[in-house]
Amino acid sequence: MIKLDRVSKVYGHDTVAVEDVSFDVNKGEFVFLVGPSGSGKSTLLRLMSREEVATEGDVWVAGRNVTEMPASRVPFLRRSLGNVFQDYKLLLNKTVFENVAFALEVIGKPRHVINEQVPFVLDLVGLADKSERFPNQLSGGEQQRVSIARAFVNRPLIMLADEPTGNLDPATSEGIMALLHSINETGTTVMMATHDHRVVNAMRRRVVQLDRGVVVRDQERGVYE
Amino acid sequence: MLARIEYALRETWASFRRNLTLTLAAVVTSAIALLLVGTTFLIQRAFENLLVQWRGDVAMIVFVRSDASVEQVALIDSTLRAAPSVIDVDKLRYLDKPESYAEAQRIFVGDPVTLSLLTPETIPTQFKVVPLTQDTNLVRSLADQYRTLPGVEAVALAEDEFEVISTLSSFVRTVTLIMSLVLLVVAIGLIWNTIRTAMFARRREIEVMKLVGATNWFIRVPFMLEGLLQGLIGGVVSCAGVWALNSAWTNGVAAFKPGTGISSLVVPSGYLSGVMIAVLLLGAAIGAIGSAIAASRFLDV
Ligand SMILES: Nc1ncnc2c1ncn2[C@@H]1O[C@H](COP(=O)(O)OP(=O)(O)O)[C@@H](O)[C@H]1O
Ligand SMILES: [Mg+2]
Repeated sequence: MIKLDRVSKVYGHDTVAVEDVSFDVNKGEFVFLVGPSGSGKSTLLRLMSREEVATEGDVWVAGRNVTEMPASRVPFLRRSLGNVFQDYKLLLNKTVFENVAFALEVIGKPRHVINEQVPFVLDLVGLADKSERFPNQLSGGEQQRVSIARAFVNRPLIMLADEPTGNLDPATSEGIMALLHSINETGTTVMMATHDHRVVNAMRRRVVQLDRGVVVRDQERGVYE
Repeated sequence: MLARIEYALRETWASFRRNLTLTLAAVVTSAIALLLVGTTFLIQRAFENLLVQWRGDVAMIVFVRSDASVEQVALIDSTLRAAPSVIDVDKLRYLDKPESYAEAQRIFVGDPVTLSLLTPETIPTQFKVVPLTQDTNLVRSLADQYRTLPGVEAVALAEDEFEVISTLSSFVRTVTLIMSLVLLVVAIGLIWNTIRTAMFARRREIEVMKLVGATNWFIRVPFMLEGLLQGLIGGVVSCAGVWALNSAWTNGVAAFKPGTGISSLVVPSGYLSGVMIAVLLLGAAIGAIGSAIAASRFLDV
């Protein structure tokens, strides 16, 4: 589902963010990308969603070579990905329903699909009763649920989550992890960058550890060391 | 497809209202620029009526009485051709009655009184003379000589009739043309700025749109429509302005004494509608240009 082949990314002239990274992720896997701040986790996720282009090596996502993809195809790559961020990236002037609907609207989905899918995912993330609220009327955990709903509403093959629990307390984080777990259960591949020891250790899933841009560990059912 | 169109229209309208001040500035400037463009065309056309008989370096017109005999016309012709060092005989042209009548229709377009007195039978025919020399005194002395020929009704010199108007016309044309060009550029700049501001105000939305896989065209279209609409509204306003200006002018001109020449400074209605359509299209074009530049440059949020 995801394949990195000797991937390096250099920002500007000399900021080496990741260096010679290779790994494969199968369909339906749940993978933690761990490592200290600045070790290159976000850069790897951005290479997969083509927000950045690899300086060297190839990135394959859902059977497509992302590195060599022309810019005009990138929107269609993104439609097979769901992106979740630490800061939620919700639109504050739209309701919960509208935020999720927006993701379908701007890829040209007809109204009847929107009216069917949005309530369904809002129910899935447990926010069915808050669909008319605005983001600033919600807790951080609830806002992150909205952003996960938005990422999932188009049934992506892959979820890319960059520190989704970074702004949340432990109890709320647990709820978010349970949600990502159930999304993974539907067959969606999940790739999550984090430096939160507790969530990694609680889940016992595959762990890819980075240190200064280099993979130093790739372990099934791993913990955060 | 319907969902996309609905989306584009809704976003365009919302953005229009959000940036009302900037939008107004852009629309008003476009309207003024386009009004000036339209006026330039109208002035140009009006002067042309007056200058049509002098087109092609004609400096002297020898009018022949409508009752002149064939021999008299032939004599005038040969007299004109007898001065090949002063007169360009290759360019010497004789307008018969139908041709002269057609030309008069244009010259006296704003002067129905004079027009009604003319018929294809009673109209004087004419020789159009292009001189080879720049020496106006020489041309003038020739004219004095031709006035005495039998059958000649009158001899008119461009110098007497149109030098002032010609200079005035080209001055006005240059000034209005430069001003309209400058204003058009300013209008494009203002539309560009409005669209850029609209895109900046919605940068978070644009960021999310790109994230979930909206195509660049999908993101761009509402903004480009917005710019197009601004230019088009400017065009509509200036159309009304062009029409009002022309009506006021035509009415004013009608008050002048017939035969003073001023009365021919009017524009036929077919030409007026042509100018109005051109101004509308030009408005749409500047809107499209301004917003296209903005949309292509500021999409990288
Ligand atoms: N857009 C950028 N321009 C320049 N340097 C960057 C950029 N993004 C990240 N970096 C650098 O690349 C390295 C890896 O950053 P990042 O991928 O954000 O790591 P992490 O997500 O693990 O904290 C850091 O040294 C960071 O300063
Ligand atoms: Mg990061």
